Amino acid sequence: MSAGEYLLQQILNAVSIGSLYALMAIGLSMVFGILRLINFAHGDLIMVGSYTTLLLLLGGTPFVWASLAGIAASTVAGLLMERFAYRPIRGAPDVAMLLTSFAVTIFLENLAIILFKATSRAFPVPALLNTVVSFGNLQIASLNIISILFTIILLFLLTLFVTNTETGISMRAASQDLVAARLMGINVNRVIAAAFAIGSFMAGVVGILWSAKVGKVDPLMGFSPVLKAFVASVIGGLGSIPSAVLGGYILGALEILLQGLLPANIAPFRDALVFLILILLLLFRPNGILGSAEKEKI
Amino acid sequence: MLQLLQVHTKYGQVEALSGISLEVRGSSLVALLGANGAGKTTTLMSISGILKPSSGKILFQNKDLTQLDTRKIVDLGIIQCPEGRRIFGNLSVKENLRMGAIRRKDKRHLDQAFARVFEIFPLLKDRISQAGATLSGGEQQMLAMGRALMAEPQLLLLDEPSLGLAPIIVDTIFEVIQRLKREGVTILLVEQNAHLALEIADYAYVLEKGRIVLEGSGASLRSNPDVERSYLSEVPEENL
Amino acid sequence: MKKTVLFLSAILVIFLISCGSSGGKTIKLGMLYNMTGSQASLDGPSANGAKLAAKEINAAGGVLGKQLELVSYDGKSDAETIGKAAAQLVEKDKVVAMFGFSDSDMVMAAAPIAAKAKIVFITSGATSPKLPSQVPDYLFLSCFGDNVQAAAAAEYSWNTLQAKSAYLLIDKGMEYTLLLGKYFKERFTELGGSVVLEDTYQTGDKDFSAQITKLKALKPAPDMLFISSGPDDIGTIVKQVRDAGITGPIFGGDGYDTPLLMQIAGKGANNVYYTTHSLMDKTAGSPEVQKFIAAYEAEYKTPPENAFAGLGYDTVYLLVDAMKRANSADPKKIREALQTTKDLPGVTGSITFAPGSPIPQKGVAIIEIQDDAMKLAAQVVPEKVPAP
Ligand SMILES: Nc1ncnc2c1ncn2[C@@H]1O[C@H](COP(=O)(O)OP(=O)(O)OP(=O)(O)O)[C@@H](O)[C@H]1O
Ligand SMILES: [Mg+2]
Repeated sequence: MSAGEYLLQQILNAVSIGSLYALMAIGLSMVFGILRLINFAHGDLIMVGSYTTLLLLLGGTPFVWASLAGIAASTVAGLLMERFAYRPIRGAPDVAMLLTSFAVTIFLENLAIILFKATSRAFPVPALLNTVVSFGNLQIASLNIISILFTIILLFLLTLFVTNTETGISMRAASQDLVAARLMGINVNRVIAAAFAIGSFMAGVVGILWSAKVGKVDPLMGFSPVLKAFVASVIGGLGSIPSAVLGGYILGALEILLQGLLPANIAPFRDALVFLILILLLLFRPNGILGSAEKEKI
Repeated sequence: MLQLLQVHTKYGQVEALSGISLEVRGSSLVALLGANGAGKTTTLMSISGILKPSSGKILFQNKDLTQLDTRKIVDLGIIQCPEGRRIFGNLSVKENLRMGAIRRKDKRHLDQAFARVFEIFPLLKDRISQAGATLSGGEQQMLAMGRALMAEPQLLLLDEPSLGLAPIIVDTIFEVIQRLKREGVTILLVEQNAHLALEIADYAYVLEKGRIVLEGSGASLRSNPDVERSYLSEVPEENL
Repeated sequence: MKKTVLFLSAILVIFLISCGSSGGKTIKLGMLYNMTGSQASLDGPSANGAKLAAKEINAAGGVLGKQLELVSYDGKSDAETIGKAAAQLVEKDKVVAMFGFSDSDMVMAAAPIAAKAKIVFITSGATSPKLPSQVPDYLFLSCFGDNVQAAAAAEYSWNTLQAKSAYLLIDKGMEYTLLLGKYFKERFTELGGSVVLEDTYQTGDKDFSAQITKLKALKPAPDMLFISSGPDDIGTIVKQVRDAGITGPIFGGDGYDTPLLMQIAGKGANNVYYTTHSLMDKTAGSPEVQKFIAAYEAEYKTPPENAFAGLGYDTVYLLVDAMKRANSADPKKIREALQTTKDLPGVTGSITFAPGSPIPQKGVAIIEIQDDAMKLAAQVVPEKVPAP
């Protein structure tokens, strides 16, 4: 492997993991944009989808159908979360909403522990998802290609949705100014539900890809992805879709490049370095790379 | 057309409106005046259903609005152009306008609505695909009003449309307000610039600490020494 | 109302029963394992093994005329929770000895508390040879030390696998994985092998693509990979290494001894080797092992998940043996008797403590996975062991 190929391979790694972070960050960021809520339970949607898929797989359902059902389960779980946990306390102080999201997380994780036991379980993946595809000297895991491809498709569809449909435009409007959106007569409940549905759908997709990558599921599996998504959205600037995507890819690149380039005895401090970079960034751009100054809210 | 009867509205424990009663007749222009913090915005937000009065009635064509959702109030044709413009900065001019028409069922006539707004504010047409945030203050005010007009309001609630604008632009805006009035739109205009407002108002109310302290025709208030002292002298506060 | 009364009386009954049992008719041992969190796949089987031992002992009449009672708490793989639980065992439950855990960091959260109360703590599965010096006199191991298993791995790699060069991947987040990697490197290079690249990761990492790309860039490719990892990560690592097209032998320690490895990595688990305490196999195991497997299966409807089940089991017998020889359940006497344990047979090998050493002299089982099955590749006592 030449130096150029090595770099290219690492860039591919970064894009691949960054794609998953981006998809996760979108959901977190969209909801934050409208409700000023950092929904930490967003990670548990990954768990819901992955377990649903796993149970169906064990029951003999073909992978594609099991995955679709898992994604559907994530989406429904996200909608239920919005309806029964967040809607009743809408308008409450930000801290109360944040605490509620912790409560939802604790509830879902403990429910999963009761239902499925606390220990990890293997997530069987079809051969198609764990083969290596060669392009000359480059070898790319098929799962990475699929992750990147799915992300491109989803981002394309999402862009179409938020720029061309009335609900999509309303969603962006509501995340700019919720009161003004209501004054237009925008159906805020519907817009918020749509944001949750889209975010949860993406979490469902990430869940399948993530579980296929890691090879196992456990009730607390959502913690790491939601943390990454949070960091990614803060890097990009919380609240908008393009910044979430940008943040996801930057985080992926930071992680891979630091891990790939740092000497082995410093590399373990990679996560600390990522946070250090995040703090430095926030000092210079408090609202993230793409974020603008905080707008006034009533 | 619109009647407020003994409306009380609170922010938490603090009462911002302490029993407001006022009336806006069809096709008239009514001004609502008052100093900073008097409760003008609170009044408009109560009418639009963003704030829920703790007691009192708000009647529109004899229908009580106090229990209605903002969306239903918009459906009745009561459209607010809020204080501080509050346009959607990330949305293009066109998208902003489209949001103004979101509750219109007759989407077929949307083109006509766009045409009308562009006829009133030709500048907006040149900026059609620009993001709202990139517009100047005056252009943003035009966009905010244009956005409200997209809904073809029966009753237009205007909250301080002249706030922070250059005199030339204020003139343009007020010309538009008068034109709308001529075209039969009923208008409730909140202003700190009492001079201007009283010149074009059929009737006016003066708010002070959440209560109506004075009312009368535009002309009669303009010659009222109390009004003269409190509101018509010197520069309005927020321009200091 | 009726329901409430019923509920309250039920609680009362349970309360009275539990009070009754603490009236000195039983001998209480404190058992600390993590039933949740990253350690659960080792600790769960250990706890089951220990409970099975207690049940057998009680069925055979108990110890010193009393029944054995295991008072247990879930450490939740969390140091703070573990500290509280240990304090609870000392102050409220008044246990005469404690045992548990398969990880040094977890042990260090509990053992000092036991030592302060002058109670022994036996770790069934934490293999750091440095542990006893951190809690002098009161901390015993019922398993071998990491220096022993790493030396066994290095010698087997050099002699049998004929590996001359190794790639090292070490989890920097755990004392266990750090030491294991260090001991392996020490013994492997001493034998003449070379470590061509030493890379690291953090416990809980999910994406190893950066490390794998670095590994693949090595020319020539190393003869083997030594991946020093805990039970929760190893399945994912092996899977991702194999998914990237690397097929060579992967070696590791007893952290690999979890069914998750083969479940997660599937075919990728082939050509993986690891050192552990014994092979839990119905046919290939020793008579003690076969008897244990049958009893475990009867009790839990599943064969022992790994050797850690045997370690939990042996640990309870180790304590009971000491009490019997001391003819007392006094913590001080237990400790003295423990130190003189000699040739006590067990599922994971016989236990003898040399004078002054709280680490038993035990053999190492080397497990090899080929054709989707585990088999005992060798049972070795290393020729030379790195100093702790
Ligand atoms: N969100 C809020 N929470 C608490 N009190 C508020 C809030 N908004 C306004 N108030 C208070 O209610 C009173 C009326 O405010 P309102 O905004 O209606 O005044 P206004 O007449 O529109 O003033 P301005 O000319 O500054 O726009 C003020 O005392 C103000 O401090
Ligand atoms: Mg105001």
